[in-house]
Amino acid sequence: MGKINIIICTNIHCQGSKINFLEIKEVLEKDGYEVVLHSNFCDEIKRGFYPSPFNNCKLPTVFAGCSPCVMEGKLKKLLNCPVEIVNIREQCAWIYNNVEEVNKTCQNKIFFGIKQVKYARIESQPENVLGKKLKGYISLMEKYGPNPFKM
Amino acid sequence: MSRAGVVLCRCNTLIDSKMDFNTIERRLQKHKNIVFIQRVNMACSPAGKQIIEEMASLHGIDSLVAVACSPLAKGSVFKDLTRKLGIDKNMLEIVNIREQCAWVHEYDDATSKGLTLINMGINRVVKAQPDSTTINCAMINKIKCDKCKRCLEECPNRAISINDDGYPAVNPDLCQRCGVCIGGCPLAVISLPDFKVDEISAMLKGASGAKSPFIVGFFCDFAYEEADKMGQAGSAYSPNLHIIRVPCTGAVNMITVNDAIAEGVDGVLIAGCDASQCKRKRGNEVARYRIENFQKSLEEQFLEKERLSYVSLGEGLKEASIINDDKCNRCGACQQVCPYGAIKQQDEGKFQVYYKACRSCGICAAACKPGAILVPVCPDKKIMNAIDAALAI
Repeated sequence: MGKINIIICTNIHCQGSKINFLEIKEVLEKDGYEVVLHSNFCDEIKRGFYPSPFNNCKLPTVFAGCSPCVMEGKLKKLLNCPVEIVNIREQCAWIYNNVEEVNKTCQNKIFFGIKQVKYARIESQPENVLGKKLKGYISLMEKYGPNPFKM
Repeated sequence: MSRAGVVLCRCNTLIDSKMDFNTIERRLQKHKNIVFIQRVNMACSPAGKQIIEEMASLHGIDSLVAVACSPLAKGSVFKDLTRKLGIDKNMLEIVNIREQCAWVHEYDDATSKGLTLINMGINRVVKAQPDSTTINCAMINKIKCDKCKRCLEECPNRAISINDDGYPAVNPDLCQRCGVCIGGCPLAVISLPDFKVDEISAMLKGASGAKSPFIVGFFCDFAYEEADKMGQAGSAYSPNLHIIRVPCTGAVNMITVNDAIAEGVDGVLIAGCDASQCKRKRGNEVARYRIENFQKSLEEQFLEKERLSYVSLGEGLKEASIINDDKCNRCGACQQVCPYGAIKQQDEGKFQVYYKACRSCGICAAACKPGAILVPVCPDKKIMNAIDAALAI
């Protein structure tokens, strides 16, 4: 316990107001985890960096927020540590109406993420193959000049 | 006249902080087919969807242009939404300005490229026709077909046969919707429900005024995914590239390329898989062959042949599977099931995964009886742990 950092995005536009994040934070902290709540994580990272609020920013991190398909790559690059993403937006806040059910599911999902995070690893960033290949192609096109049909 | 609604998704500031939505809105207002432009905080959220529904019913639109994130991320959300709104599935266009503009280009470049992509998207839905059929395979327009039988030769799945009337017919059970027949048809009379040659040509007309050299990229699903990954990782590439998603590189008809060149496009890139990797069996092979032929015709027109080029992407994009030699019993099942031809037998009988070709799909691991294959992104242990954790809750 205590060897995992937890980030929870509580943005009201995403998670709504049904989830009691303070209560969830309390439960997690009782178990010894370091938990940080962000009121709008997207807004904080829009400049492309994330000053870690944790004592040890390299610890495996559980991110509870939106679906991995929204910004998994971006998130992993920003945090630069093993990350497990828990989707409490699409799979919780947006589908349940019952407050009790939402809170219970959200808490369970975060605990599920905590159990899974040990398998997360720091992933190497993909090489910018597209950028490199395109650079050569653009310079070739610049050398050839505009398409004569454009005239 | 087509009545299109345009939804600009802010993606909770992730998009509109990186590009100028005011300029885009102002420029789009001049478009005669647009009946409303609605900015929403998150188009995929229940609140966002409700706003779109209200605007759509208020203005009575027949097509929707969702200017948001990648169709690989939230495409299904917009498809569901259009179904709910009673808009035909063909009349939806998702313009990916998040991964392809906001996250990879500077502010001004992202704005101007975004505008071009939106114009291309609008042109597509304006050209598109509602399609009430429920057919989900390649369709051949018999009125225009001249029975040349080229599609029979091109189809990698042998899904096309000749009917009694002499016209080709597609077997929906065999058709994999790869579009290779579309790319091969000399009259461009074949189409898929969501991919039509004339619509793609219409998109290219919306590209006027774009930054020079103007490059159009026809990206297969895997190449598109790689471009998305570049966006997610913030790895910048030139804003001159404007990507059009195609089911397979083999689906790009040279009529479309010809239209692109005739419209003044400076260069056309067809981006797909490397030689052995094509999941569509041989789509990239035929694409390369057609490109070679078209390059000759470009030279005949005194144009440089490189104006049409093929690039292979997606190699080594995903972490490759690992074979444990101690556990492997050399049965070769993995090699047989690998859809990307990534597993090869070495001289000494050992099997090895070619890391650049592996897409980490895990089919080999599932087929391996001795459990000798590890898929690093999702090992068996992780799955079993997830099941245990789920049962414990």
